[in-house]
Amino acid sequence: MPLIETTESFPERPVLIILAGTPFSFKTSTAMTASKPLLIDSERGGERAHGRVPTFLINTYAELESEIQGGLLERFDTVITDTVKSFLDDHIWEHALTLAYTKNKQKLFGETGDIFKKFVSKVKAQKKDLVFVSHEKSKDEDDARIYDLDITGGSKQLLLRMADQVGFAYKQQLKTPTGVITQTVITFNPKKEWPFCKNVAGLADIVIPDRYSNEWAGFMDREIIQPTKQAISSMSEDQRKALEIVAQYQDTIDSIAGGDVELKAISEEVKKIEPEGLKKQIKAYLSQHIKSIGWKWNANDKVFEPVFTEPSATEAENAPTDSESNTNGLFADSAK
Amino acid sequence: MERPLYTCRVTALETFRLFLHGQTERNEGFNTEANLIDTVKGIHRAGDKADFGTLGHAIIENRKDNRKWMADIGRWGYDLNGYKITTDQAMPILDYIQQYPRMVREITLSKLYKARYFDLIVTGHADGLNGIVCHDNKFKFSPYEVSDYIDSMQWKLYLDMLKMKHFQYDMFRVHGFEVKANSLKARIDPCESFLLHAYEGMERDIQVLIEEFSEWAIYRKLESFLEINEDKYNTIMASEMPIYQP
Repeated sequence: MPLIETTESFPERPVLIILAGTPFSFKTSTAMTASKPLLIDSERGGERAHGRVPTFLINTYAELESEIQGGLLERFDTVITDTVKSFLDDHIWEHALTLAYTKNKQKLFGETGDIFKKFVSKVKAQKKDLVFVSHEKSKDEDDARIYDLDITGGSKQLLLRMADQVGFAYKQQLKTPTGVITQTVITFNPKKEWPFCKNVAGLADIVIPDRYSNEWAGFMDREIIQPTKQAISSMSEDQRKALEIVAQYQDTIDSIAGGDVELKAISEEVKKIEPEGLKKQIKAYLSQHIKSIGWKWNANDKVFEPVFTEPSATEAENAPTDSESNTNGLFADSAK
Repeated sequence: MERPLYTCRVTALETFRLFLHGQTERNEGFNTEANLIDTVKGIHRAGDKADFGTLGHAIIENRKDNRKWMADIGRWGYDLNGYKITTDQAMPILDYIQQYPRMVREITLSKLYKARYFDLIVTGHADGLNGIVCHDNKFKFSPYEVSDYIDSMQWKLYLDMLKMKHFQYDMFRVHGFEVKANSLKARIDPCESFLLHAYEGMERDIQVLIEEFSEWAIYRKLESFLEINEDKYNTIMASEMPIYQP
């Protein structure tokens, strides 16, 4: 792994996207418009999809693993798993059982999760993007239909944790002067109806283009995968810049040992910091520092001044020696 | 007539959300209205697990090494009100601290929201801010559901109050702890994190919850518990006031 200096941005990394949706919302077809896709088909969804891409019809997970070992992924950019539930429940679960037979379901869930994590790592290590296609399941609550990913318990939690972007595709009817048209929309913005969505890229809801239009080819790559990569990359760059600013201020603040003029000057400077989140953290750091060096703001006299409390005779007698001072509990020096 | 100005903590709003919208078979019996009213009233019932979590939080908050020699067991470690763990047990927490050397801990937050019946200053404490990411630490004693946290209002409110876009839950799974006496046998897993991001419509979701909360608080006649007392005033001021005023 090449060394990345603190002043450098992290290189672009593969992304993991979950695409869920109602029946016939073109989930698989949309995923197949990613760059150089390989479809790992565990549910024969590829046959119903629009268009064709190289497809690995999975019989056993061991077979897939051995093919990946043998270089199956080399000529592809994107690995699509359709559907993730059947991939996990039918194939990885069976594989886990083959590796270590047990009647203990909890243990088997754990083993399945571990194998799945390894699968994701192997694909990512080869710098391939991952798209997991998922069915939805829904329930009616009050006056709304609430959707969820149709992925088994623990695996769903694992995927939600790992996913960069989670989208939901659904049909929407629009009234136009010429009649009602139905369009399919992908949203990444969580809502009461689809709370599981995740949108690192801040993508607006997207209408899936007509399968025969010019916009169809490369749709998934152009409109979803690339913007997600750019967003992650830009987040990493924004984080690098923000931490650089935080470090500079923290070092400056740490060098201040007290003094009304010095503390007023740095307080004035902190007031001007933007954005708000950065200002809050540097302001908090400064407040904690002022306390830790034994100073405070005197609002009446409008000066920073040292905190001076005369120790009582008993306190002075009982004051700990240097060697004891850090043994009175966790909060002995918690001001900063 | 002047609009009333009240205050409540993020925790109260999240408890309210769980009561109103978060009822599932899994958590049946937990999100009761009685618990919610206690939260609004500020009645805090910490159990052994919550106190163990407080010990974990305290280790994270301290940037300096505050290990102490625990003579009774002849080991170095951490002790908070009799909840003890050794340095070895705390290693995942110490690794986590190392990972974020510039993180600023314990930031007091507040923001004024307007509801139909009153204005509400919502207050909270962010566990850590690290550059563009707000962090929250959780100590969990049973398997947790990521989706529970995705649904939570806590991160949405914090991001809104901070005007930030990214929030990270840092989860420490604790095994083998039920009661205080188990402290020294507890095992803490390495931190597992997941990121969540501000989204279009997040402010609307927050506003809807605040409206629902205000209606409920009026209906249950809880206004007196939302009034701003000295403690609450100090919390708000700690967040809002500049460090000094020329």
